[in-house]
Formats: sequence, structure tokens, C-alpha cells
Amino acid sequence: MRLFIREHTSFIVLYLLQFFYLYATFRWLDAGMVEGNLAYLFLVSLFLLAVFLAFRYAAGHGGYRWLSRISGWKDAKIFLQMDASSPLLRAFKDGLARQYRLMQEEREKSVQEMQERIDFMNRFVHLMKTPLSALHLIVQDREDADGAAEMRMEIHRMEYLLNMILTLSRLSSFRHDFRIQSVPLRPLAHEAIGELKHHFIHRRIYPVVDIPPDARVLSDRKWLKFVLTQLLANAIRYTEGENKSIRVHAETQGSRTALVVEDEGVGIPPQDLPRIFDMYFTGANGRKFGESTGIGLYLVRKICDHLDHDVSVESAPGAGTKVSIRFPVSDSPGDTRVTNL
Amino acid sequence: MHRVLIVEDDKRIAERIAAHLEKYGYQPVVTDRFEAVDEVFEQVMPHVVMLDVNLPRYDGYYWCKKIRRMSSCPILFISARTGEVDQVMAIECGADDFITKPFYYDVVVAKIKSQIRRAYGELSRGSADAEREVHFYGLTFYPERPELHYGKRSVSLMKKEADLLDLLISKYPRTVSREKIFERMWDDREFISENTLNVNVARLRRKLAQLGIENAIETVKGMGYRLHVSWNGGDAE
Repeated sequence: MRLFIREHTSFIVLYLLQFFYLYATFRWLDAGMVEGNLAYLFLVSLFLLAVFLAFRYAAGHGGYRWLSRISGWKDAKIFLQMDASSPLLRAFKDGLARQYRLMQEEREKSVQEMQERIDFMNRFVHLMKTPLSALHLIVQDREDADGAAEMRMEIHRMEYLLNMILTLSRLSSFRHDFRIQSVPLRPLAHEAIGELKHHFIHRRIYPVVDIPPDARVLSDRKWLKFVLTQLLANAIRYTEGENKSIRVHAETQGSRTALVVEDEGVGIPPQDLPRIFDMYFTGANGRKFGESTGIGLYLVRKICDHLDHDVSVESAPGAGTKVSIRFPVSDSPGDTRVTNL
Repeated sequence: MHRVLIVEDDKRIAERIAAHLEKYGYQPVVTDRFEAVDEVFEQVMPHVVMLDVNLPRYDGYYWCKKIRRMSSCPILFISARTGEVDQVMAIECGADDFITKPFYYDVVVAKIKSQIRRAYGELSRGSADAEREVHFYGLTFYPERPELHYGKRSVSLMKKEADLLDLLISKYPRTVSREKIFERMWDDREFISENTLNVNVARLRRKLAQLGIENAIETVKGMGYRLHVSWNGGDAE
């Protein structure tokens, strides 16, 4: 409304000036004719103005309201679908439509370019897996040779990093790639540990799974497994010495079920704790152990955010680290209940 | 003998798989005619096909569908792709299983074995599927029962003890590292601690003692274990 009035102020002023100008002219020509009818003439002329303005307003008020509150590009579509009777609004609409189309094209192009780059990267990662598999087979054929075990560990590390790249690129299309369902926790933990079997054995760390067989949570199975594997890999990396174990268990924290990974490793210095989920942050441990990518925990946080899981870390240097993932409360109470704790 | 057709465009990988399958009593056929996999299939008439997803010209899915039209023979995909979609696609094309790169020989052999059993039944046992029987200095070891015979006496073993013995015999006279033993004994359900390993070694020693064999398993400090033929192998034959 305000925009409409402002738009038409000059017109109203002109109209009024015109009226007084005409009035003066008529008065000068024939004073008697207009003398007593000033109010009447004024009303007649004002009536026409009012009709005109009302018509204009009725025809274009949607457009005016929209124009005074331009927000997202989505609203532009609404505007473009509106009827506009005034030539100015119509011209504006056409211009906007052109802009909108150009912008869409531009965006599609950049999305496509981005996708091409991701596809290119994925393709190369997959290609790299072929020589890696060959290397893996060669090492298996010579498993008694000197250094075969070390070589195999390096191959596993490389594979782990390649899979990380794939995950990172898949994360960009995350929204289309996850499905929340009731996930049984115990088999998931066994699978994640199975993937790191060689790491556990090589470092002589013993995994303990303490999850009731009926424990289920609302999550996406694939991504939750990735998160758990990351946490376990970190726990293994930062555990030193003999006879240490890593415990994976479920517990009830408040009203929510939590999956907890607890190690007896070196722990995280308090000054590093607030930043461990930042991308590329490696901290004192990362520098000391030299195997940190600074991506693992970043991905963990990112995925947990998407899945609406809370992830928190408690750590005491020298004593160990405890990472908890708390799951959203499900609607059916039987679903996330953890018994015998 | 079961024929396994290997369609993998990386020659080194194909040849290594072939060499390994031969050791296990299969007859591997490696092909490099990636433009006519269906013709190769008709010539070879394999019992199992191992098919790479990424092939020149047409991909593995294409050939999988083609082969499916001719035969119901088990098809195993080998691929670097780990995505759910890729696996679903393979199954939809009619594949029976999926192996992701990089892989272990053990996994390949186990999957081929189970596919052959499923497709051709227990009765059609080829040489590769017959019960394994290991002869070792007068001992007869049946890893699949599992039982150990010596002379007229025999003992039955637990699964993990049998795994341990199998490994020790296969590596004889070398020492088997603890790490190697862990990898063999560790399965999906049960993780092996140092203690479990010690217990299994002790139990296997006791069972060997029941056969009258003492000191056959030597502890090699800081490394692992080694078999020592402390019994008179010749006498028992």
C-alpha cells in the first residue's frame, strides 16, 4: 500500500494542481459559473481520481505488495505467475523473468561443473583401487616375506583414505542419500569392528561390544556405520601399549539412547577439545602420531548434524577418550529402549 | 573340475586370481576378449563367472544381463565401487554376489565355493569341494569335521583349535606369527583376545597329548608358534 501511494503521489499532486489551475482559468473566464459550485466540482473531479486509483490498486496490489518485500528467489516465481495489468509492472515482470532464467541457467551450469568435478574425482579414486588391489594380492602372495605385514597395513591405510574421499564427495549429495530407519546397534558395531579387524589385530587392541541384542535407534544405517568406523579408527590410532581395549556400548543418557565408544588411549589435551570437529584440525595428537587427516571427525560431526544426532566428547589425557552419539527419541517407546544397563 | 571364467581388464589381478584358484583345485580361464564376453562364455561354459564392473566397451552389467539370458550360472561381480546403488544394480542385472576391491583371496575362494554349492548342490562335488583331508607325518586331519586321527586314536577339535592346527600345518616348518593366528581365528561374531589365543593353544596341546603327542607346539618367544614333529611319523603309517 505504501509503495502504491508513493508511486502515485506525484500523479495525485499533479491532478490537484490541474484542478486548481482549471478552477482559476474558469473563474477568470466566467466567475459566475463556478462561484457557487466549487465544492461540487471538486468532488466530481476527486471521484474520478478515486475511481482511477482504486482501479489501479485493485489491478496491481499483489505486485506492489510483493515488490515492497522481495525476499528469496522462490518468491520470484510467485510474482512471475501473478497477473499484472499495468505496463510498468508487466515490463518489470518480463525483465525479472529474463534475469531469473539467466540465473537458473548459470546455477545449473555451476552445479553441473561441480558434479563433473566430483565424478572425475570419483572415477580416479575407483581407478586407483585397481592397482591397489593388485598390490594387495601381491602382498598376499608373499605374506611370509619381510615387511609384508607392514605393507599390508599401508595398503589398508591407503584404502581407508580413498574411501574417505568417496565419502566426502558423497556427502555433498547427502540430502538425497539417507534414509532414517530403526537400526539394530549390535550387528552394526560388529560390522564396523570387522572392517577394522586388521588394525585391531596389528595394534593388539581388543574390541569389546557391550550392547543389548534388542537395542535399536533411529538413524541411517550406512552413515551411522561410517561414523562408528571413524570413531573406532581414531580410538585405535590413539591407543598405545599392550592389553588395551576399546569398548563400544549403549547407554541411556537422560531420556535418550547413546552409542558410546570408549578407549584407553592417550586422550585429547583440553585446549584441543573444542576444536576437534573442525575441518583439517589435527591438534597435538595429530602432530605427534602423524596419521591424522583432520577430516574424520569433521565428517562425523557433519553427518551427525544431518541425522539429528548429538555427538559429544569427554577426554582425560593419559586416561582415554569417550565419544557419545545420542539419538533422537523415537515415537514408539520400545524402539530405542536399552535394557539391562 | 569346476571352470571359473575371469573377466577382469586388469591383467595382473586376473592372473593372480587365476593362479590362486588353481591352487584350490579350480580351473580358471582368463579372457581378454572384452568385446565378446558372451562368445567366450559359450566356448568355455564355466561353472562360475567372475565379472569386473568396469570393462572397456561395455560394462559388466551389460555382459551380466547377456549371460543371464543364456545361462543361470553363478555370476560374481568384482568392483572397486562400494556404493549400495552399485550392488543393487549388480543384483538387478542377475548377479549372485559382489566382491569389492581390494579383496582377500580367502573371500574370493569362499564365495566361489558357496556359489558352486548353491548352484550345483552338494552331490555334484568336484575335487575342489570334496572333504579336505590333510596328511601330516602320520597325522590325518579333517578340518571340516573337525577331527584329528593318529594311529588308531582320534580326537575331535573345536572350530578355533582346528583353525589353529590348519594354519600351523600349512606353514610348517615355519613359525606362525600371533598376528596371523589372530586374523585366522577372529570372525564376525567373536573377537579374539590374547587370552583366548593362549587358551586355544593350551587346549590344542592337551588334545594332542590325548593322542600321545607331547611338545608338538613350540612357543617362539616374541613371534608366535611353530609345529615340531615330536612324534614318530613313520611308525604310525
